[in-house]
Amino acid sequence: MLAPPMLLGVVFGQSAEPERQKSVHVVLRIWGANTKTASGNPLADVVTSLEEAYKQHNPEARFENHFHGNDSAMGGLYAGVADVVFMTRKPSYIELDGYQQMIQGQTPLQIPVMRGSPLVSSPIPPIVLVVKATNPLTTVTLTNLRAVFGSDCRDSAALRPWSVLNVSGSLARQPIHLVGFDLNSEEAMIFADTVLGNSPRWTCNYHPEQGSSAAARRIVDDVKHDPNALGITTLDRVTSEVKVLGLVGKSGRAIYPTAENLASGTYPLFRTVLAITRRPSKKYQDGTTANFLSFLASPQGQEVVASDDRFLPVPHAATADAVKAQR
Amino acid sequence: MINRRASRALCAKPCATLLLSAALLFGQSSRAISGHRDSDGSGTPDGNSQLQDLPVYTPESQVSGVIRNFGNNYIPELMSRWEEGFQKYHPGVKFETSLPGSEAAMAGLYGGIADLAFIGRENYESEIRAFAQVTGYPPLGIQISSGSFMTPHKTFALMVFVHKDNPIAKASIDQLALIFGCPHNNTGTKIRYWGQLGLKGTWSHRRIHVYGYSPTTGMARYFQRTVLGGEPGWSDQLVDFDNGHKPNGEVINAGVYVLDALAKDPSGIAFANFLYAGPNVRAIALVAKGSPKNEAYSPTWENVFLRRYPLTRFTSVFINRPPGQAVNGPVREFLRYILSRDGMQSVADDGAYVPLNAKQIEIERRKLQ
Repeated sequence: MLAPPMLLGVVFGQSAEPERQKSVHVVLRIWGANTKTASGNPLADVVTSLEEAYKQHNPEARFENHFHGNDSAMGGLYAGVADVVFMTRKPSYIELDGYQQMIQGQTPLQIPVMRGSPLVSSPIPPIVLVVKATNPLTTVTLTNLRAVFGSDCRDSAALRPWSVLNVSGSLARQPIHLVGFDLNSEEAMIFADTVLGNSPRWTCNYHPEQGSSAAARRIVDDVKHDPNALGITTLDRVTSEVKVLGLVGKSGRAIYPTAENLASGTYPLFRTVLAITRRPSKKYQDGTTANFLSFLASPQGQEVVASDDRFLPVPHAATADAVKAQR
Repeated sequence: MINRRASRALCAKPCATLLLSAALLFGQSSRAISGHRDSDGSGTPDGNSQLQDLPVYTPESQVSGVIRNFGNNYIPELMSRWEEGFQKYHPGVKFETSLPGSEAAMAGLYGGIADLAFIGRENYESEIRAFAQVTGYPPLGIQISSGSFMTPHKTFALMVFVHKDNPIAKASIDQLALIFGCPHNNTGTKIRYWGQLGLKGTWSHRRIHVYGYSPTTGMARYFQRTVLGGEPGWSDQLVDFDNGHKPNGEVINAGVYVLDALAKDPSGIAFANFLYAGPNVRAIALVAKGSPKNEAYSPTWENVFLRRYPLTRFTSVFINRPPGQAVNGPVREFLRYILSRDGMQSVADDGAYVPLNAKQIEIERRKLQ
């Protein structure tokens, strides 16, 4: 398997490894997600570190950073005012439509460049399923999650009981109270994409909490006070009063959101930062952007990511698979 | 003069037949239609009398410069009409017009490559957020036409259909929310049986079967926002359809599948447009949310024009106006032109979208102050 920088080189039609360019004369305009909080701006920090590391190889390189937010990032790219955008979610189909209206016949190139770590300080903590600490349930399969959270007219519309999740005893006949993020939120979209499939329909029994970070805290509160609750929240808000469920996939093993499982992608509800750029064509060539993206995917770039404990590097194989899938 | 031929020309034989039969049925139940009705029953109003109420364009000042138009790819002819009409008053204004599509429009505005972003539908919240992320304030949105009555790709109104054998005449938006939405979205009890909508006899215990567009489509998003009050949950009972494709790649609108399913199911209810209706389905009149007199309005061209029919859509233009600042210069004059009898005559002559009525024109013009 080709290393990600080499694959990117193939995509961009240039030499494989990141190398010092003879003349880097274009300022790279970076747009992306706004992860600013009172305690810092993690994405801006790590991207700035990556830029500094890149400049060591390419001292002429210049960057202009504008972390306005996820919603404006793709527009910046296809309006031609951004060269690379960093998003903490996949582009929506509306954003992809906009891109293709401007750059016909093309899809943007999306490279996973880092993942959220399990640390509380991560701006993109993994999504977790939680129950009250006293609930006997410890694991749940993705198939069962789909059955419980999904809505299909062929299924019963009735409240699902805990026995659906193989819980026995007094809880078995009790209805599951489903709580989680607003369906338009980044977190709910990632859950739906991973668990519910391409055309997600949520059950009417789902209770969404509004907001993002504040919602995650409220969801944990809901669950700790309700023995019948099954919640979707983020790991950073978990307390000892609730229990994080292991997720059972095809392997049959229960997977928990540890750093190792998140880095490897074994835990399915991990979160990724995508670097997105315009795909090169006969009419459009941008060696500077290509070189920078190759650096992001390179061992040197991923070392920079690894040095910031709020993020995790992406395995070469995962990046290579993503690039190959878009060739 | 409104181009009446447009709606007929775009209506293939089966739907023309249905339009006639549907309008005749409305004649029995709707007490809302007050204007002129065409002899074919399509409800297309007398254009001259409708547009006569609109303000004639009178320049406030002579302007010159470049206006960059950007967005909706379905209005090249209409845009030409507006531009040419405006240049008769302001020959010093030049246009740089690029119409790649509505989804790209807002980025043109916050990316600084456009003065006017035309969106051929209602905006998405994410588009407003995107603009505000970059500028720190929301864009100013102005409606520039109603959606079409029944023209493909032109933001057509949505009709609610039942099987032809179903005797129901009308429903309210609140009732539709309890049929199509999640019960927890509303304070009312979910509606699952036709008896809950007032039908008697054998109908009263028949379960309602719900059909519609896939929740990820633009039609469903509009229905969700207007009928379900923005709540994302849909009834577990909804059988939804997405667009299909012919062997040659041509898109088959999901409405075809929605109304085909309804035509085979006397217990069904569905949302779609006359464009996709056959003889076995029938559109019902609707009562708007919060209607003081509980008046039901049928889906006719006139009720769409007058905004009495609740599932009427619209198209917009967005501009970058910092808070507290007036809209000035060529952009202001061009928008005043569009929002005039002249501008709406162009919409009518184009024949797809429905012009704004006088009341809506007044509302939109006030936004320019």
